[in-house]
Amino acid sequence: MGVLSWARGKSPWIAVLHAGGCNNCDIETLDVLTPRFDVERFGVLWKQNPRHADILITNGCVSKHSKVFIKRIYNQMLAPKIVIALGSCACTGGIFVEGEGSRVEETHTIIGGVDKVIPVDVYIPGCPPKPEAIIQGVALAIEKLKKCT
Amino acid sequence: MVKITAIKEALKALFKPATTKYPHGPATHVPPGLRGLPQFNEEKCIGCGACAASCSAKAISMEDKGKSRTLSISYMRCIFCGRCEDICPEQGIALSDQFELATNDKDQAIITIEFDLVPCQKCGSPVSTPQHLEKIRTRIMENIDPRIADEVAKDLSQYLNLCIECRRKLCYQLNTHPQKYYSRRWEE
Amino acid sequence: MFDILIVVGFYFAAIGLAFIFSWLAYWLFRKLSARLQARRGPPFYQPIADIIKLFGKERFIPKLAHKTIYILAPLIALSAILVLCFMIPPGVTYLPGILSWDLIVILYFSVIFSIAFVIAGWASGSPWGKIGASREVAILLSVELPLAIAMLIPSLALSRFGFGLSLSITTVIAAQMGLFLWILPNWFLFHYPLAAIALFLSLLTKSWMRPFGDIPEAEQEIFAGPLTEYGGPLLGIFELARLFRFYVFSALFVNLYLGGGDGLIFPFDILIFLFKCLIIVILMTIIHVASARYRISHVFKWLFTILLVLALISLIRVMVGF
Repeated sequence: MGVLSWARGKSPWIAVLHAGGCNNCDIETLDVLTPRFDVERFGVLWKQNPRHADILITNGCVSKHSKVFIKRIYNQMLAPKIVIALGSCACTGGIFVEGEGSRVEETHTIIGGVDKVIPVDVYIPGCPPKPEAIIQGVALAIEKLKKCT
Repeated sequence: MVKITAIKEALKALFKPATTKYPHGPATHVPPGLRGLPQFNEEKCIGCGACAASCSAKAISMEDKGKSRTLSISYMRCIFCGRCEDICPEQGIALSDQFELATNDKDQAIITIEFDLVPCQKCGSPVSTPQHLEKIRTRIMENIDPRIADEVAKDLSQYLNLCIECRRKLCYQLNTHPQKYYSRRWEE
Repeated sequence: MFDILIVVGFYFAAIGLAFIFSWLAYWLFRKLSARLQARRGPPFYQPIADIIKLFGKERFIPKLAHKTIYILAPLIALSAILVLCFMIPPGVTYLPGILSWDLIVILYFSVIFSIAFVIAGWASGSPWGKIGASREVAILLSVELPLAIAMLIPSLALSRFGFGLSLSITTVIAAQMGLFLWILPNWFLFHYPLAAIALFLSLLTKSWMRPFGDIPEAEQEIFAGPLTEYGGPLLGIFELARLFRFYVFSALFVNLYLGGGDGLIFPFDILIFLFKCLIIVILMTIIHVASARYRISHVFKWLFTILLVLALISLIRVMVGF
């Protein structure tokens, strides 16, 4: 707590991981860096490098191929680390999985949401989410990052 | 010339950035017709399940349990396409402009609406919700030819409260089969 | 005994001054680049928050890394840049200093500072680190020659201004007092403008700014270059070392070509010196924001043809006495 918690809340560095799917959330994530939604005013820096990042934003449904890489990239991050699932696909699997409502069944290629592979802290639904929704999700993640020990 | 306009723009931006104040203030641009969180209208919804049948992401599910029907939207799976709003006959579901949906707990992200079910008069298995049956009756009576309206109203009162299996089994016994209208000649 | 205390006190004061200036300059760098792109930009405590956060992260050494060098590299970088911080006077001539502010030593430590990133890249055992290190070496090889020539030109030209041959920065500052052509200040910028341009661009390259210097850590191509495998406190040390570059490189240029503190009385000379440094940082930021990154082969060509020619023309002028 104290100074360290303050510093963590003020400088969250972000890495983005695209697991599979249609790539739209990946593009929408870049919108929060544009002048209109500039997230650098919260200290967010775009570090496309899991070793430097505090927050991992995953988007897209998890396919059986990408499962291994998601796990590896999560393990490459240094503690304290926060994972955000961005978009409906990363939250549950979205339109790419079988089953009704909250009961998700995997298909022959798609496993489902990111939380089946790594622990997820913040979910941002949307297809894709509005940039404001992403900022709100990042703010939730920052609150959680502050409480990390 | 291009360079000069670019420099002008940069100098203008130096003192007047285009950034919104979003998390500390309201979102500046929420366009009309934004497809946000889908929500049930409890007064209008009749629990027919058309939204669940048409949902392209299978985010809406319909479940009959005992004497109650539950329609639930798992909005973690919803793709906000608006098919449910299009298909709903009674405007019972609509996409609101609420977009701040980020949460720490996925299991909370479910919107439900519950209905009682009318049991079948013969076998006791559920038929549909009372609102739904009432709507079927009024819709038919509004659109039917007035010359056979009395007959149809009588038939409806007989079979509307039966389950689909029983309607099929008992149609000749109760004389509700539409076959009886086939041979009728209309005086044009 | 008392002399040593004064020297030690001066060192700490110099490092404190360098830290505060670099902190504000780095914030200005990020804020100004944000504002030029019509963004709002980070708050002023941003650089310090980044470093504190990095020191609070998990400690980590990759399995493939050479352990000793992996840990030593950030320390070498930090110590080299701290030595540079008190080897370069804050625009004044009257402060005590060991080695008499020698330009050769400054050149030497600035190379060590770059070499630390090269060995960090090689020792971390990552392909991205190795690519970054090889690019850093290429930059280093091409930039050192114009940098060295442009740095030494003021001291070579001292005899023209009535001073003896000296490699000391303080003599160079002292030689720049007075007026030139009745109106201009007697700065080396006006005597040798081509060499000043060469020095400015090579310092820009050394402090990882576009168009040339950004190549070793091009995040779109090779993640973070030499620092890819670094994380936590060791990355924090690197970030701290990189923070000081704003003071060191701008102070070097101001001292050599912009007349340092202009020989004013005590508080004003340091203030005017810092003001000039700030102008240099702003100029670097605008160039960084306005330009795109060159390809590595183009950088080699640019630095070797244009910058070296600029520096050599000035060198010939100095030698001929024209």
